[in-house]
Amino acid sequence: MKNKGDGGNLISNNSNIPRKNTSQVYCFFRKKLGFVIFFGYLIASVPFFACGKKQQGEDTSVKRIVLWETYNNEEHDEIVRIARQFEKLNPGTEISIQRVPWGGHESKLMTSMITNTAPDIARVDVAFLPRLVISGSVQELTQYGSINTDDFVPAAINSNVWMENGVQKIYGLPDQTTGAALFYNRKMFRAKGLKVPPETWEDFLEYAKTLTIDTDGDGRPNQFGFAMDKELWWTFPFFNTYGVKFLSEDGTRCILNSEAGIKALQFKVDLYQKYKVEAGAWQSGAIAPDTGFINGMYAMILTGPWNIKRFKDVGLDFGIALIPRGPAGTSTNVGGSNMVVLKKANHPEICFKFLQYLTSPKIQAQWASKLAQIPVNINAERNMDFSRQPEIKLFFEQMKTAVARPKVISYNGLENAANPYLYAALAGKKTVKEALDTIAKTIEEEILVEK
Amino acid sequence: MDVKKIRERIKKILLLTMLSVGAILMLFPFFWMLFVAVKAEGHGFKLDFVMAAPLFKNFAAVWNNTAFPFSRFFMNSLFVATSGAFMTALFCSMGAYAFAKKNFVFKEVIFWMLLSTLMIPGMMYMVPQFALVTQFGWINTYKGMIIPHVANIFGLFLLRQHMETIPDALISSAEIDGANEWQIFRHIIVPLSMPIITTVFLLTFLFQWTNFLWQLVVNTPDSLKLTLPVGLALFRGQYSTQWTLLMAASAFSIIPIAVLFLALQRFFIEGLTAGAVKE
Amino acid sequence: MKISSRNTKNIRNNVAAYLFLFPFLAVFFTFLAYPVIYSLILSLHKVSWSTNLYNVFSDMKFVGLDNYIALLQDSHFWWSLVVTAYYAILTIPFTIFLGLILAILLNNKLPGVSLFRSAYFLPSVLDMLVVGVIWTLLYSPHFGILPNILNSVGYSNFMDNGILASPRTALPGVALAMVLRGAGFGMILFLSAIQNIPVSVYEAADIDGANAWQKLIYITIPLVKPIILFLVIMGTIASLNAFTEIYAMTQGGPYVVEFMGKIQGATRLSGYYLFEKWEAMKFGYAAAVSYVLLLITLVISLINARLMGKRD
Repeated sequence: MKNKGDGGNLISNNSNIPRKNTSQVYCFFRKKLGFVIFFGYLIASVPFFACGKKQQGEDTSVKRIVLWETYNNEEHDEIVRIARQFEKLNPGTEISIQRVPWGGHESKLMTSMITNTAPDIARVDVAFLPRLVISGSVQELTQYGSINTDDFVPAAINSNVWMENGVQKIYGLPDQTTGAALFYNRKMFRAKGLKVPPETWEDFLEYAKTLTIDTDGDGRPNQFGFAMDKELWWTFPFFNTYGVKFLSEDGTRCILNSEAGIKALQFKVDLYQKYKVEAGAWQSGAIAPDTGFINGMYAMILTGPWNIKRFKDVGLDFGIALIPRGPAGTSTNVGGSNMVVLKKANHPEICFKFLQYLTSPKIQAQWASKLAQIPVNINAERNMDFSRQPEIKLFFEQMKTAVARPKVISYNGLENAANPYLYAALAGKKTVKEALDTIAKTIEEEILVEK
Repeated sequence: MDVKKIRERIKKILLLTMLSVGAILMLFPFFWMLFVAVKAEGHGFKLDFVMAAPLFKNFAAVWNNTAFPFSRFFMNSLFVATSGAFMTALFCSMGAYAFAKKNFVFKEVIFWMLLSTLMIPGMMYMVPQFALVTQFGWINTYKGMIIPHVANIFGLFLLRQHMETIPDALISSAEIDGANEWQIFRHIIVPLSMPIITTVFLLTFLFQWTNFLWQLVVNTPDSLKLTLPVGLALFRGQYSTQWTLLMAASAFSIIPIAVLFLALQRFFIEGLTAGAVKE
Repeated sequence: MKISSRNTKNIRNNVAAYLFLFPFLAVFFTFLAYPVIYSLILSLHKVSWSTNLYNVFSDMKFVGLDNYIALLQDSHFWWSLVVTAYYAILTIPFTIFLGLILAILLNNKLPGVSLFRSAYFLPSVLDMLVVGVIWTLLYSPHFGILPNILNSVGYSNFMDNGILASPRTALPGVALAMVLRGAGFGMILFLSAIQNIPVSVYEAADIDGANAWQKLIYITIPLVKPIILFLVIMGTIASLNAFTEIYAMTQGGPYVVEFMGKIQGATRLSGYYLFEKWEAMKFGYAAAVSYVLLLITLVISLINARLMGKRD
């Protein structure tokens, strides 16, 4: 410590050195006080790190599998409950349920494979399956036991089935099948004397006009008849009710810009541009349809069964109806997700067993009744009491009319190609025909040829 | 009172009003966040005064949620930001000392290399750094979150420029007194460069505290090392329809650092001011 | 004798210098220099559909200069450069200007000056994601407070679209949020510099009959020039890296601008564009994008180095 003195002397002996000439004692005290508070914070944080470490002690006799899901809060609570039930039935197993945000779950999963931190089971969007299968990232499931595809809702299981050299291979099991339906705010309907939901797009337009009102008298509406999203997936209900075909029979051309396609998109655009009954919820920085619906700004929206429990929990008085009929009747889009077992999964046989359990009639009935969703196992219906869940019945009805998404290797590629132009069309920057022509061209050039 | 004094007073009042209006404008988003955070569910967007009952219901709901341990995230952020800033300040001052006061082979070459990488967009490093961190097995570790960012070239430049102004005579007289290299660095260079070192420390602290993308990339979703910005983004994904809850969560992520800042502001601001005027 | 002692001194100096440099250079070469080279290799490869996801980096397909050729024809990339430059022009001067004004105002002897100092600096420590989310709320169409305030004073243009959905106001809207967040930082730096200017300089100017404006132009600004330079460099780096604010506020939209025959996102900055490519696992393409950005920034760095060199 001798040198410390030396250094200090050196400095104080040399008058050339710039020094701060504030009251040093005062300053020092102030600084020190700051330090004390700062390190106080740090010390307080120690116990947190300590308890983080404790959890890493592993019991090797327990077979532990990790499942990544992308559910919302209500669904998350339910899957955790199901995992606990499974553990009770299968002593010595542990299912660790971990939640990943839906947005970006694909890149997060791919990233985790690179880093070898991938889970054993993952819930993925149906459109993501082709890539996982082609790259050999997921396991074929029939090697662990038999699967009867007839037990499942066809639209749900089909995205998992591949035919390879005439042999049927199954790479995942569906955990959820969804589609959009029309949700409406009952209170707003009553206020305008509307008793039943609209049945056709013409009715719908009249309803929307009636429900777009200015409640605070500033000359601008602050309640809107309708609110919608811009994305391709959310535009499918319009296309499908107009009977629009997406790809040509041989799958080499995109024929979205047909006469029917233009009519369908034109109607969607007009809701905002011409009739001004849509809130512009699809714009950057706007309030999303489901958010505005919960907050009582939008009277009607298109959304899926995953929102039912959430809307109920906040005490919203709402009804659900079939998507209004167009020239091709009512119809909807298909969404959904599958559970896959990853290539490097631990205990794949337990993973398979859990997936079988999850999709069994009993558990599916439990899941569907609690969350008001569509069961993926058709045998679940007998275990369910529809009188208490009229919503599910409606969704069953709606899903019968659903049109599957075009089968391409990258569904996201379709979305990326279409969305900017759908936005431009909605904003009036491009005519509907221009937008659809460009979308079709881009898809043909970028998606349909890509390997 | 003479005219001059009255004019002075009017000028002062005018200035004060301007500054107050400016402060309110600048802090408006912050106040609005607090306002929405205490509103009732379903009224987050409405320009009314329907409050949550009890008032802090949203805060309680956020704090008690099982999926997002905010206290834990906060401590992680604090640890990562502090240790990252400390290491950066240390490494940069050591390197800057060598550049400012030493002649060594390849000095020009290395300096040119540093200079040319100064402004490379951080995004460029993401993929290779990610590949490296993966190879090192640093996923889900504090190491992985902190170390890739501690070589702050800009900090090194700031420090080198300052250290060049320290007279060589000081160093040689210390050498004559028998001080070794480390002692010269520790007892002469560091004390005299403290203001700039503090500036570098604070800049890195702020950078690390708000760093979102990298912490998102090096942590798996189950990681116990997640920091506040990532935690909040996850929370946002889940609760995007409940803005009152989201704003309460935002408040949780902002208030501790605001309090910390107010407690340390003298330290903070002094460090920045002293650092900046030096040339 | 003399030569050898100089030699030993030289060796000692070298050893000491490298010992001091070691921690910094170790991190620099591993995490900054190596990635630059690695990116070059990546930019010549492509992740294909059948690439083994468990081993992406070693299973990429060699495509030569394909990524660069595609990049040169990629209107979205060029557009992102334009937007980034625009963003830099929007943020840097205004942050500096506002910081300087605040510093000059706060340089007066007033009650509660330190309180104001804290109030103005506080936003700089707030999380960018949170600030972005709050501003999105303030800007939202029909219900956001800002469009409503503007409406009540007779300017109703933003009621239907909000601030972030119009191509003219989207990026300025983001920039405003970031300027207000960052101005306090500049203010602190300027304040300290101004306080260091001897009062006698201003007194002399008073005697010469200089007005406030002349004092600002001829005394204050030249003396705070180093700080302005510092903030310009910081601002350039921030613009090139801007990602979080876009992620939080607009996600690159609104998609209504036409450029090189394609529809473009009005706020799709190069940092955000790069992130999109990364997220889509187009690692090779992302590396090529960042290499072209590197060339551009290299030019800017050299100009900056010149400027910084002049200062010494």
